[in-house]
Amino acid sequence: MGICYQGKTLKEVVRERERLFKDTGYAYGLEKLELVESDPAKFMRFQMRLVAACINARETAKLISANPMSLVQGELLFLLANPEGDVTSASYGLAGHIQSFPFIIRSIADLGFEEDPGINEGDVFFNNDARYGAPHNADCYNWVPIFYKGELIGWTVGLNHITDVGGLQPGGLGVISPSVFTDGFTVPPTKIGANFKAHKWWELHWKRRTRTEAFNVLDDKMRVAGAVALQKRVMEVVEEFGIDYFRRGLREIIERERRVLIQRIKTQAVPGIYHYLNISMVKYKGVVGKLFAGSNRDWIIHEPAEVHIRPDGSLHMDLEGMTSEGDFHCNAYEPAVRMLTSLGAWPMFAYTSTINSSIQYMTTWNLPPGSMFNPQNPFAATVMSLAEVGKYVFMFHTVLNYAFFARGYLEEYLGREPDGVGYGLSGVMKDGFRWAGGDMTLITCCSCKAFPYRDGVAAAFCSPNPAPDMGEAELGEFLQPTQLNIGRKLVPNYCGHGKYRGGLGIGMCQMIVDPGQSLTAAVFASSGGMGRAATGMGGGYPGINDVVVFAHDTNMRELLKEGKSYPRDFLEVRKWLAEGRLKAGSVEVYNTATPNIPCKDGDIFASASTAMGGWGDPLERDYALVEDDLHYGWMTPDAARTVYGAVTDEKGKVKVAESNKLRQQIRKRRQERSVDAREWWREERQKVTKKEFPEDVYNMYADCLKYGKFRREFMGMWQLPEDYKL
Amino acid sequence: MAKIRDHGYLIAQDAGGSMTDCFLVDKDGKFATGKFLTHHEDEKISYLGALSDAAARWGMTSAQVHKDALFSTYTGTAMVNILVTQGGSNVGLIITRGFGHMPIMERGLTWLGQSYEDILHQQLHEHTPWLVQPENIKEVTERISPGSYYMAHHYPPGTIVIPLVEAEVVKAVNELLDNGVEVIGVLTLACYSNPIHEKRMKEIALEIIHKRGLDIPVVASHEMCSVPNESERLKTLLIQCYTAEVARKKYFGVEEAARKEGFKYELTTLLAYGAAANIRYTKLAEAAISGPTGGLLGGKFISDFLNLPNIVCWDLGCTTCDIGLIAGGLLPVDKEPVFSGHRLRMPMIAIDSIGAGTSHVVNADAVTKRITIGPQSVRADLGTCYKSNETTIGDIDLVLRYMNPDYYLAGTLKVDRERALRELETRVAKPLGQDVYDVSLKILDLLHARVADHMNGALLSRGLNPAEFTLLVYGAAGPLHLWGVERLIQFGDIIVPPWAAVFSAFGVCGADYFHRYDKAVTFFLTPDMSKEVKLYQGSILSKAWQELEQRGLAELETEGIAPETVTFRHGMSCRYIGQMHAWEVPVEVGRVQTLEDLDKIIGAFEKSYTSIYPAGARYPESGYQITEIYVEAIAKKPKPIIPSYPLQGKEPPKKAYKGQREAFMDGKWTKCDIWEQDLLEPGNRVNGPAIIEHTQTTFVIPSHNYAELDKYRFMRYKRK
Amino acid sequence: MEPRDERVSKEHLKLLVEGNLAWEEVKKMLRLRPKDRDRFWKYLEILQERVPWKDKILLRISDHLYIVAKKGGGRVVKCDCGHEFGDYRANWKLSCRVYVRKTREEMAEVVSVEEALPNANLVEMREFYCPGCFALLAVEVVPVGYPPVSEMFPDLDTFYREWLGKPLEDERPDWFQDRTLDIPANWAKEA
Repeated sequence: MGICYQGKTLKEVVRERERLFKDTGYAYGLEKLELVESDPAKFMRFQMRLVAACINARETAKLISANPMSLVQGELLFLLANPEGDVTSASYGLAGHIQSFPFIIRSIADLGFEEDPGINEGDVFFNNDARYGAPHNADCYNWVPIFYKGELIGWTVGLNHITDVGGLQPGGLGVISPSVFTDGFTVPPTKIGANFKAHKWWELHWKRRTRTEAFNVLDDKMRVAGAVALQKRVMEVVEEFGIDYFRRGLREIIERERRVLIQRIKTQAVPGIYHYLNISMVKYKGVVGKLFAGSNRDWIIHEPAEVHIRPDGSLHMDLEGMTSEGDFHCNAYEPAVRMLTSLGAWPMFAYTSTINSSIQYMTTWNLPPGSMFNPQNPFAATVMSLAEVGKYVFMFHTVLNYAFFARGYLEEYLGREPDGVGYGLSGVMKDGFRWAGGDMTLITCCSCKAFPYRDGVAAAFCSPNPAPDMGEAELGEFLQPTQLNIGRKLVPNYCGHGKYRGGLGIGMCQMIVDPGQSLTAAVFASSGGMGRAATGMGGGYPGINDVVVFAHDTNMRELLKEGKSYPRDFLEVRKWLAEGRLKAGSVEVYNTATPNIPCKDGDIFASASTAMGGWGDPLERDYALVEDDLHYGWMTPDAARTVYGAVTDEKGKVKVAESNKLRQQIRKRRQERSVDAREWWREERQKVTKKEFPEDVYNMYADCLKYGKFRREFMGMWQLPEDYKL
Repeated sequence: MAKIRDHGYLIAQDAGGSMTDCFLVDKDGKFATGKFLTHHEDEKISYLGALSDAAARWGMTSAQVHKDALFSTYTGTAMVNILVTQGGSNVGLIITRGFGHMPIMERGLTWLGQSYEDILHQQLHEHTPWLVQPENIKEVTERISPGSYYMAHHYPPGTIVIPLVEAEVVKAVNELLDNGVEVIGVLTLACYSNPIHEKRMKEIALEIIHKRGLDIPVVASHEMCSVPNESERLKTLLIQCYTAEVARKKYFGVEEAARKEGFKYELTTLLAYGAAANIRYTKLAEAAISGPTGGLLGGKFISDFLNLPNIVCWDLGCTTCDIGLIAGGLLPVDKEPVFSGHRLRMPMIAIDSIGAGTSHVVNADAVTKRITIGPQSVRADLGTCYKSNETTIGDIDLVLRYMNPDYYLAGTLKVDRERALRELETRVAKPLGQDVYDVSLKILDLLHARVADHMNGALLSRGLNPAEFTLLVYGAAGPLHLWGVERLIQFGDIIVPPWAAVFSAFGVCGADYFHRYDKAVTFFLTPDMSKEVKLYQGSILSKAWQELEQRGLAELETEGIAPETVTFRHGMSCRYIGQMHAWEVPVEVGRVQTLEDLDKIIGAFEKSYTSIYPAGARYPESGYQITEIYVEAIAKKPKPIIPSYPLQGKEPPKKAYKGQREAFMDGKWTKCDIWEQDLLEPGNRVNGPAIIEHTQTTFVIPSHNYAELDKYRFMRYKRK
Repeated sequence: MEPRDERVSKEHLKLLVEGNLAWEEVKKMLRLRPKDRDRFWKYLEILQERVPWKDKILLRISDHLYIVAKKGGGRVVKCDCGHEFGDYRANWKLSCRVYVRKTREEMAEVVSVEEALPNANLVEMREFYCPGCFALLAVEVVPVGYPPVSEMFPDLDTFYREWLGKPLEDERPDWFQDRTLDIPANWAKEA
């Protein structure tokens, strides 16, 4: 006798969910939507009440939090799922996570939780283990079952991104981890409480296994309180509409929303095959040394996608050819892939007042076994899988942008590229006090790429969260007193160029003050050092790299004593160093994530991200736009000249005649410097046949040519002999 | 609660986007209400117009009223319009070096006030128009530490880490003056923990301004709000700089008009936290969001008057639905209110608004059978029945015959029911394959559910139970849609005031005259702390409260209020150490001398915290932190009194009867009695199905409900 | 011919295409429910009026590029300058003029922040120009030897027949078969 409707077991209903869709092509086999069709308005009301419940739960619970990422930057989510695990409504926040919860429920079903430890009213469960559905261990899920007269009728869930996960590197975004054993505090599905309350012993784990106990304990309380509050609200809805309506209603939500999404694709897109490509870098060489031999190397991460917009309006993402699994932080499982990539789906076609997991019923993925996103090693590290999975968020943007543009819905265009720099800290103050912290300012607020009708907008978006929020420097400093903020600004010239340019990237500059006995920073950066994206749009240049600069052993303290000023971003750090105004014992520059970096008093830590790509040929940029850029200091005259062919006077006004002439010359130079594709092909082919690749590139091809599809394309393009091997 | 008061009229006006409402109280507390089309370009016209309209009801002129008036309080959307029309002052900003782009980046909050769907549909994110031009933003070298969560382990709050480079300030001020700015704002990070740099910057600026023989105000951010969060503080500063002086000019214009007619006193306006204040009050930005506040003050007034501590104030207009809570007789305060796309840091009476109203557009999709209401609103165009090409809730109200086509604003506004019906057919009924009247009714259900959820949210997110509350219904459309909302939430009692349409103006009239001051403090209470340390910190709290009291007395005195007549209210914001959010709690006395006093304060916090959250969410082990304190300095001000009348019989007088009309209720056409509100008498009972009409509102009563007029002519909505 | 959906006028759409539509109007388009169903036809009219040649535009695939129907039959990629890139089933990049930026210096001409330059030891920056007007049509930042990325390969017959309900006259099953690799195959033969 199971706990679900008609005495079915959880395992049974979960399997049924999969079977019904496979057999009929409709979620839960619902060819007819009785509730929706018989009374659309009542159904809408039902849906809206559930959403309202989720939002209220979030707005109430988040205040308990100790975590600026939750309270200020909105990195949390509350949601309602049906017994099968399909999410039927959710609050604002980390909207992507509704995609992974169905996997968590499938996991506990397969693990036989119903028998042991048992699933009863008031139980509280937890999971942050990627193998069982959580994207990575910084995202913690707490959930409670909803029972009605002994029947399991759903789940309410609270989740958020915590400050520190107790990994090799401080913070929640550490990127050095050869295996699950170095990922930090990773807890597979566990019953952590009863009577709607977590057990006392549970707090001990946060205290002993992470660096930021108080924050993490309060966050845990927040997630539970919210899930419990939400559960009570849901019961009211059950009372109002009746259990039968509720039971069927949750299923019809999924099928109806699936049809809404299909409808949007068919209305706005164009069927066909589209390609997306991202190439980035993971650097471990010399970082983990002999201790983890398999990790003592660098990887070029190959992330291709062939996207099919099918005649029926569904989407198929074929990732064959991507980098294989490895002893690094970026392995991921299907839940993480679906979860994070859905963030690209929301703005492009899945926006609705009732976000839910229906996307899973109109998208299919090919994640080849042994590839990075389908690891066969049970101990594969996943601590920052999102760093690489995240690259595929922008696949939806890129592909659908082409489609919407072709269809004439230019207004629906929204371009993004991999973005975000964040850091974790751990230190010992002069009196021996140990502390840790983290920051996501340049992740929770980003700029966007150019549109085909205007420039990209700066500081207006956030990849993981539909509601961007940079947070407050004063609050950040209160929690990380050693990081004195001396710059938070847009960085001039820092974008991909085009007829319309990308939104300017955002920079952060901090001076390390009185760190005491020790301070270690570990910085996450989204770009791989090879540019922000592999392809530009419509002739525009792709966005450009993240930048992380550390200037150690500086003379900042002396300068300030003399009443001098401080640099505000990495450009000024470079300039001042060059001019000798600023002196530094050593300077480190990264375009990728960094290892642990020890910091001293007076060190400068300058980072920048989200320098987004442009649209169209820069030589076609309107002179008026160039003048604005100069006027507001977004662009320098030399960039205007070399990139845009715009000659300006000292007042920043464009000299039209000269500029037109210069633009002609640049076109002329293009003609002189370029060759026919065929000519270029011959040269490129020679290098390929001679295997003249840099070591890391060689390794990338050697790995990816193991996969049939990529091998066919590669061999076909360069017309290589069958026995070509790397 | 003032009783019979000094002789003289009270004038209160709420200048809305389209109409200016006037609420006039005579010497014995009788009311007259008036309306006039708002003249944004010259508001004294609508001020006098609305007053004349009200005065006319007593056969008087505005001048006659003015001569004998004690108070005239004028509030409204003046500041919103300055933003909308971008007609503010030319602002200069001097800010901590490295933060000059803050006004442009706006912390990334490009979605404030948007619907859930629009927030996900991120193409719609947008920045607000600049309040300060980039060329008028100057940076100066300086940094002060806000202190730290780790207390004694690192910098104490207010530590000067990088000294101010004064030469840069001098240069900045001169450049700004050369650029011809009309006002200068200064902001440094962490000024709330130590304002020394902001003060010095202001000094320098004023010296230079004086030297150059100019008269330009300089505002420091700590003067606006001495509390954390630089982005919100900056917005508050910029709103002050951008709107205050322009709005003040408008107000002076109104005052001058009143004086010309013989008004002997100074004009007052309404501040966001519900206080009436002299229009000469410096921090006029606090008057920016006073619009919906009036309604809540009215609610507070009724709460005191009828001795109902728990009231839900509900204002349904054509584009917004405002919910305000009065719990235990207290008005809740929102410290980070959103004001047309800007998130500010100033206390405002908490009002939860959603886009829901009679001008919201209704759409239906044939394929997915999806119905959407809003977020677009056609505002004053009403719907296809009037000037718009979009079908709206208002069209439905007319099509279902709740509204009388010949009585919009007493028949002065002509509407086309046939067109509304046709459009509703083609745009909604057909696509959904439903009967036009049935589906219309269901769409109203949808709207009512949205409103009900909104109310529930407001109550439950604070752990409150609707049954213990009285619902106070006002706004042009409140009484029209009450019937649907009432079915979804069980309130203890429901009141519709006879002057529902101008209720905000009434509230303005009832406002206290006071100033509120907030201050960030550093106060940690850990379990292991010694008695001495606790009491020492307590003494610091007392000092802080005293300081704010002094400031209140001083500022009120400049407005001609004798210190001995001033009284105080005290409060604080408290949290468990580690938490990011602090909860505001009033305290009995603003002094801490003994440990008992301290326990009382903490007790007050624990009480309000556990009233919202389950016990599991408490965390006393980690100790307590008081983050801010506040003081309200209150001056006496006469208030209206609500007159009572002898009760007449249950049977309404014939003269009030306007015949019958068929309206579509509960799925069928139902004969409804039509009544004229002003002709009903106290004690009358109006049985549903009925519709009570008024020149400004319509009150729908279905068959299983009735309404009773009490001795104050309040209409009590009940179930049979 | 169904009546034109005027909720989005051709004039407004033209302004949007040219980058001159007021943001307030763009927002209205974004919130439009349901979308104007005849958008694609309005779009084609506008595009056709903008190009100096007469071939019928079937689809716009990039800022300068269109798939057009040739009089004598065939569907080819065409630049608004008039240059033709051949059968649309092959990646048009293989019919471009190509310039590759290999060194930091060469990349620095178009990346204005030196710290953010792509790593020239690992990737090259490819620019694809129209052989007719030398407009920049595409940029790739990839390792040497990486096959050119084909941006989009539309299923035109399905699109016109099933999604637009107006089938094309010259429907053929093999219109949706990628022919990109034929090009290098031929080059290899000729070599």
